[in-house]
Amino acid sequence: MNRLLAIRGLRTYFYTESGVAKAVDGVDLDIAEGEVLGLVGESGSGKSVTALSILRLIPDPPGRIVAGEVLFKGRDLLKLSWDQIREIRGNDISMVFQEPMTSLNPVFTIGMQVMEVILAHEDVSKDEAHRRAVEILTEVGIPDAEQRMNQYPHHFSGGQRQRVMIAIALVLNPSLLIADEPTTALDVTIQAQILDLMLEMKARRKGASILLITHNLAVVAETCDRVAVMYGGKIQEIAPIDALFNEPFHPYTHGLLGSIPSVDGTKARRLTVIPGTVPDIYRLPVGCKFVTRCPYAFEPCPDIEPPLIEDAPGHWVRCHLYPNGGRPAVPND
Amino acid sequence: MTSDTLLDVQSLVVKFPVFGGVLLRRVGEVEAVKGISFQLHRGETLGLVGESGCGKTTVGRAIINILRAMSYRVEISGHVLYKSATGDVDLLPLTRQQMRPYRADIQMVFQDPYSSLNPRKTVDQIVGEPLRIHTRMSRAERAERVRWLLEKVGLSARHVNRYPHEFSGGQRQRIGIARALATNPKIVIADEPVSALDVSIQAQVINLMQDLQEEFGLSYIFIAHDLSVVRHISNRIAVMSWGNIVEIGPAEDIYRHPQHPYSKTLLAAAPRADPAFRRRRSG
Repeated sequence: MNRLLAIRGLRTYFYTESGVAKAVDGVDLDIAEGEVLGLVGESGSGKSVTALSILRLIPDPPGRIVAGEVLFKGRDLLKLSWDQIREIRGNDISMVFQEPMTSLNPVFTIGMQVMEVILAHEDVSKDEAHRRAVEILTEVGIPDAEQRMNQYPHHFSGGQRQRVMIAIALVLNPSLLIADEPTTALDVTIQAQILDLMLEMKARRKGASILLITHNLAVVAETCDRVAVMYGGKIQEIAPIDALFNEPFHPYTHGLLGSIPSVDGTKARRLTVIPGTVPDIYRLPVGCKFVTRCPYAFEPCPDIEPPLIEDAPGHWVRCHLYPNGGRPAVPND
Repeated sequence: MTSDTLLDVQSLVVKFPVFGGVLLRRVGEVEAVKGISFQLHRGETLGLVGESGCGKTTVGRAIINILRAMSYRVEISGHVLYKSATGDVDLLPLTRQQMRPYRADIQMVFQDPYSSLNPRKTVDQIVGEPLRIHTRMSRAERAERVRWLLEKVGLSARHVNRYPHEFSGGQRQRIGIARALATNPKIVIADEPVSALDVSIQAQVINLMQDLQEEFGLSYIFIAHDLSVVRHISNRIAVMSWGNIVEIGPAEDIYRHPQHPYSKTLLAAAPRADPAFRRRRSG
């Protein structure tokens, strides 16, 4: 598998009045050509900040990328000039956000907003941009695209707006689409349509990859090839999709999977829960970030941060229970 | 009404008139709830599921009779028969004053723990407020009960003098639940009580609600869009679409053998936390 993007030692901190928030604190992550990689975590885990750091969209101040590399096609995106990164955005890497209501400009027509992306990046005529805008809107499933080019965002439903956002993101055929909670604001039936659309669009673009950021493990199970689980600004586990759901290593992943009630199968009378709450981002534990809630915590956990190790082929975990490649000491409950 | 029926909703219709033109004449109406009927039994959890705009929230608000306060031109018809300790009563036509004795019996838990608690009041005041309104407890008695309630929902009694912003989302939802339980209600209407919470916190709050139901013999109307959560907590489920209940029955029946096409569509669309399911569906 060819590597498309490599994140190395990424640290993004926020300098606020309350102190330094280490939102992303040493993330290493690869995205392969053609894969759908899920990045899961709860609020405050650092998943969105990781995504924003890739495209250098961190508001500065208060945020700053303090260390690391984001290697894309041999170039470190963190070292590019603003003009160069602007070229990358949209052309090579594009992004879809959660809010289909606020990410479109309410005072411009849908057509203008799609055409703007084409005209900003390519030296084409307005007619050509118009033709391609209609083409991509049709491809994402907007009926009567030619007429609807002249309408404003408020004429579109939430699901249709997210289709438009996907059209804008993909019109220049980028090789990486970063989707940050793209379906969280949508109803389930619409959510299923949008996820299907994203996978279809990817399938039609050879070698294109998706980085899907979500808190929803069910959405991950439906769409991703591989998953990275974040907690406390660090990647805690990376695994192929089946391995993560069938044989999770990290106690946090165990807990997360136990917290979700199922739609099919037998019904558990009680959900297993992760006790406690997410630690304060200004006062994260020195050692393992999950130590305050971990039922298996032992002597080294509070003080020594475990490294991310490959415990099975392609299955990485950051936990002292996995010293050097042994079988998991976590009982299967 | 059978003996174990606590609430009997009959032919409930809710219309919101739409005004337009220069003179703001009535130009139409939105029929949010189109004549629905269902019963809530003692000690059960009735799940109300549906997508946004289906009318599920409006049903909850109609039952506790706050729609007129929220929009005075709303048109409501039907009956909400409540089997109170003093006899059967139709809640719908009651005025705010007349409703007061029954409000203690029917309480609500809201979705957003960030906006449903008054930021200027302490936990003590928030949880104690229903007691001040509905009971003749002395200040000391109220304080005692607030402490007891906080411990019941898994918070420390030491937190009484703190303000909402000092708590996490999950803790705020616990405060909201403590407040709802203050007056010893029979029915709790929970409108998306866990959808704003993180997955690990969601499970904590769901378990808490189940424990409290058992301990206090509560009946829940659990309004939500998340099908897996609704299935987990509900004994019976009503599926709503466009202001109608399209299907109602025992939770397991609806999930295993949905009858109505809309229930089938909704269930098929729900994502599963199981990669094997994806292959079955696409393959």
